[in-house]
Amino acid sequence: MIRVEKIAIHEFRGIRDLTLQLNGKTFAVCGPNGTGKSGIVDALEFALTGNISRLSGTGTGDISVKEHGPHVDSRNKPEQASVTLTVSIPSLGKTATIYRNIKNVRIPKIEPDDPKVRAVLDQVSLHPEFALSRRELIRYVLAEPGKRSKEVQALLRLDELETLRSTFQKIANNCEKAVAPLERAKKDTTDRLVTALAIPLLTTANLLGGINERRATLALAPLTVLEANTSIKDGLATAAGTNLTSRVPKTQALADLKAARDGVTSLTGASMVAACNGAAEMVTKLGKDAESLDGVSREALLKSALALFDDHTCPVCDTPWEPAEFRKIVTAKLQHFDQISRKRAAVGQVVLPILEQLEQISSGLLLVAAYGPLLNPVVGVEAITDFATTNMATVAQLKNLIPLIDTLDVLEHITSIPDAVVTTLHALNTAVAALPEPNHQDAARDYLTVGQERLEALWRASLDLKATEEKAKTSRAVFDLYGQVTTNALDEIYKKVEASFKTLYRAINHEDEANFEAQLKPSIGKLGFDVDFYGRGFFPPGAYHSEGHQDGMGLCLYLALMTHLLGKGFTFAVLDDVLMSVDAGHRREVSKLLSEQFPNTQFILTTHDEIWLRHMKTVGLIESKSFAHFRTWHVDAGPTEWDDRDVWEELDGYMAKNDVRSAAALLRHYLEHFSKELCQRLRAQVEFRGDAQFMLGELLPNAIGSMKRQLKAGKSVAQSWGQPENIASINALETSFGNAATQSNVEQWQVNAAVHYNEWATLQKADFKPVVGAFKALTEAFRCADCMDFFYVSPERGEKESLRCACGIININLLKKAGN
Amino acid sequence: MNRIPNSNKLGGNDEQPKSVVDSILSKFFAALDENPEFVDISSRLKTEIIEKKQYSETALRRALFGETPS
Repeated sequence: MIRVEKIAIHEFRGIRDLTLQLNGKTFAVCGPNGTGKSGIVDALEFALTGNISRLSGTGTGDISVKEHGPHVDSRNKPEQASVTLTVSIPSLGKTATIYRNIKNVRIPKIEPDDPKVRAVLDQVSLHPEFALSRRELIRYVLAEPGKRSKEVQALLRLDELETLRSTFQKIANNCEKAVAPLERAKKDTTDRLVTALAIPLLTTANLLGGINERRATLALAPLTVLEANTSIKDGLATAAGTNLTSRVPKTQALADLKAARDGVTSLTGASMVAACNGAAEMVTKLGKDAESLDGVSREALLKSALALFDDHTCPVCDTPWEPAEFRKIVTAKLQHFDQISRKRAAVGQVVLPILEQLEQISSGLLLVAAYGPLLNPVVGVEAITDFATTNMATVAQLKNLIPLIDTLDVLEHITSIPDAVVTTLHALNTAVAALPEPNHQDAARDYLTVGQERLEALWRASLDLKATEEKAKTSRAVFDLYGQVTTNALDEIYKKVEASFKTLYRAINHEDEANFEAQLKPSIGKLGFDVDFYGRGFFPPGAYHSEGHQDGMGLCLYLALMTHLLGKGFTFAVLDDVLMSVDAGHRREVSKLLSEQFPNTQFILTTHDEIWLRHMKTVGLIESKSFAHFRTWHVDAGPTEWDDRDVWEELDGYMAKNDVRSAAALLRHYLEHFSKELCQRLRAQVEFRGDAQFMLGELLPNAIGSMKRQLKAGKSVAQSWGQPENIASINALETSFGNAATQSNVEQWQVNAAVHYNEWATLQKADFKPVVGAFKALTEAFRCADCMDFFYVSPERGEKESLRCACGIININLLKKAGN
Repeated sequence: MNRIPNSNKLGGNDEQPKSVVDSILSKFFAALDENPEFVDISSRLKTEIIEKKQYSETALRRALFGETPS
């Protein structure tokens, strides 16, 4: 995978022009709602995948990346809406840039254009789940088992496994289905052979007996064995006699005609009438259920769609699809028709003997129809060929069942035999019976010739059946093995995910759920998820746990799944405001978890909560400069950050325009933000407020007071260690800081906190300018002139050891020498 | 706090991931290879599924039964 070094966003979503330097490290984006945080998440996703999830998929209606990806003022200039991402690829030891704009969503410009770099970026683009929002997080936890299974399977990219499973199953089913017609075909050819050879039963002894009797008549050597390549006519070409192809073999023809007449007569028999009536009753019942009728039609449509899909476009609407995705959707829809399928299968079982009999009768009719043109005079056989064709159409309809009304129609007419069929069969029989009896030799010749034809047909039918049975056996065995291996492997994966999940969740909630347990229970198409509730049993996550705990579970399950999906390649994830319901204490633990358990993963986190941002800093999840703190957003300018240079420049801009009101508001807003940061850094004592809504007057004077106390303490400590040079430098710092504080007059605010800054807005430009200057000087006094980092007391808790800056040039010892 | 041992730290480093599907399919092919009757099928399935990424019914039938494309 990758790490993000830098992102540059231009005219994209709510952002006009923004560059963030992430340096491959965990990075936080903080700001109130509507200040552009999500724009960064969108930009990351867009650069890496060409998509923006929140603008596509379910529930987004008419919204699209193409139309609504650009900034609202650049919607007609999609080529200007772009994101440039600089990423490092640890596995290759390379850095690459990806440039993508809305006009050419699918064609990113990648430099260097190296196949290995492309392969890594292609891999990333296949994993859009690197970005997780709260909406997605919750669906892993609160979803129904069926939906959760789909979500988790989608995340783990298991859809390919499902596609393979269903295709293997389809092949096995189709092969098994193909066996029955071939068995019937073999039976038909057997019956015809038995009829032609006038033997009671198909045994080798019966066959050789009949064959050798005729061969003896023709003075041919007897056969001792019958094998696939044995010709029972062997030597017949040299024996005297007339050519059979020009005449009808009387004996066999009469037998065939009898079988055909018996078959046709059976259509009007009581058993066929009863079978047709029973089938018609079931079909009528199926048709009366409107839902079933609709379901049968839809099921048929979906099955056809699957069968006709060419791996490229939908056969119905020509929409392009990824093959796996198309099959997944259609298969999922088909699963809804289980009930309908069962009813339909029951009808299928009832009509099966009917259609088998029809196939056999049609085949017999076509056999005898071949004799018509050979007779003299010729006997017209259109009636029986038409009837055979009609019967085969009936067979096709009974197999399809749809439309049901057509099935009812054919069932009604199966037992009706056209008079012309009976008449034609009679005419054929009369004509054949009138043929002169063949002599012994011709009769023997007919016997062997017809017998050879039908024996060959039987061999072919047997081979076809055997090959298909082999295919059915093989495909079923492979399908069963596939199912067994994948089920075991998935069980194993879910066990590991379950173990990781429990460990992660316990880490966040170790204070009260150190013995937390959970169960991921996979079954066909489902993934159950039950969690232990304080030892009282296992319940669904939403049953008793709070929303905050559910959020925590979602994050832990996501992290566990991603770890198993990507293994050591889990180097990058975007967590978009995912822990909205988690309280401050648990957020600290989450920050620790991410920092300590995922040291090799770069997280990009967005939050509207400054306290969480602070936790991220204090536990070391993010470094001091690894965050962007947005303060406001404007449609013309996009988000603005709490960056000192920007603030003072912006203030100068307002002053230049004589807009004292805007300047006063900005100064106050910035000082509130600045004071919170200072109070945190300097461990200032501030009167507690449950709602954490501190006024500027409650913060800044205490920050100044704390700074002064640390400097004073530093001098005292230096004195205890006998370090006069340190006392001198602290004195200098103390003097300059004191002057800045005096100039700002802030310390007086404790008398009446609100008065001063409420008055600012009414000041004239000339009067307000010194106020701005004084506060700028004050903020400068709180930081190191070299590294520009604000001073802070170390450590964050416990005994104060030093007052220092990031670079260490200012490092004032606060620990007195023992005994002083 | 329940700590995960250092050797089992989660999250990534610089190795390329092997997909869950690939690892499961490897197990499937290993199981096929254990049966002498399925060795040829296994080889053909690897070609279609792993190399060509073909999951269609036609491709799998070709692999299962050694059918030649028509």
